Amino acid sequence: MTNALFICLIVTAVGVPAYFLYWHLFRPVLLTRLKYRLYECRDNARILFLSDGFKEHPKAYPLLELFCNKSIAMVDEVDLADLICLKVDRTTVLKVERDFNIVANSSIPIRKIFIQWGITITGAVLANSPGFLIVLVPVFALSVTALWFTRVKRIVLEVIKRAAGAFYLKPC
Amino acid sequence: METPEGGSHPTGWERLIAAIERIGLKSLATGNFVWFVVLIIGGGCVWKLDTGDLKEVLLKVFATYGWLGYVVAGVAIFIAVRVLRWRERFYQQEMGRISEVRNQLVQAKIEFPIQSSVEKREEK
Repeated sequence: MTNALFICLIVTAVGVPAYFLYWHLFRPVLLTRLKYRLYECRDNARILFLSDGFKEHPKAYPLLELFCNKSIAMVDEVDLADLICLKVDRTTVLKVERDFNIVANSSIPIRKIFIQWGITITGAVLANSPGFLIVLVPVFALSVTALWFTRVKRIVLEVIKRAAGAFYLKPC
Repeated sequence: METPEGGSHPTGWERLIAAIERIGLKSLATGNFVWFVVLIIGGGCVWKLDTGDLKEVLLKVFATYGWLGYVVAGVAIFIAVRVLRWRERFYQQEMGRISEVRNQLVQAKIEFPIQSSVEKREEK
């Protein structure tokens, strides 16, 4: 029991500075960086639109604009708990599938912007939920090795679709 | 009791469970559950240990390993300085990017297709 108390005190002594350093210094700076990257995505999409890059895929531009604007609005507080808690109906999931297909079938520069947006918003979600990262990384590594890639990929895609559905339902 | 949409209102018990579920998920997401665990284990130990053992543990932590505080503080300051420098660097990069975009737009004499809400209001 003395050892348990000793470990608790050491964890507290090291954890408190780490906690403040992460939540009050590193995370705000990281989120600012990610916000700049989202601005860059949006600017790239707009410049591409001006140079007629969306001529053959006109439906993709409003989607990219919407994704970027929503992400910029919620990048500070969006986390995995928010996205998992929100109940998503089947219609929204189908809408997400349709929109993702529109972007997937568009040209390479549009897809590049979309991928950059995706990586950025995933980074923001993970930065806002470090606890999930600590808990889920070992589980994820185990599931990849135990269930192998195809099944894990299917599960992950389903989770991403649900999370994107929750993202759709959130007010801008 | 039914809602206007035809569903039933959640009872107090259901709302309490939903609130606990949300707090749990939030603490899991932020990593704050670690503090709850430390608090419960530490509190339990303090409650159960006798005074002599408690004194021994506190002496060990504060006297024997107290110097580690300087190391932690040093690392914290080092990380803080690096993070602030990084922020300054990417801020400069962003300013450069913005001026580049502006130059592109001015040279091409074109405007963004999206109007701001202020511009829309002015047009009306």
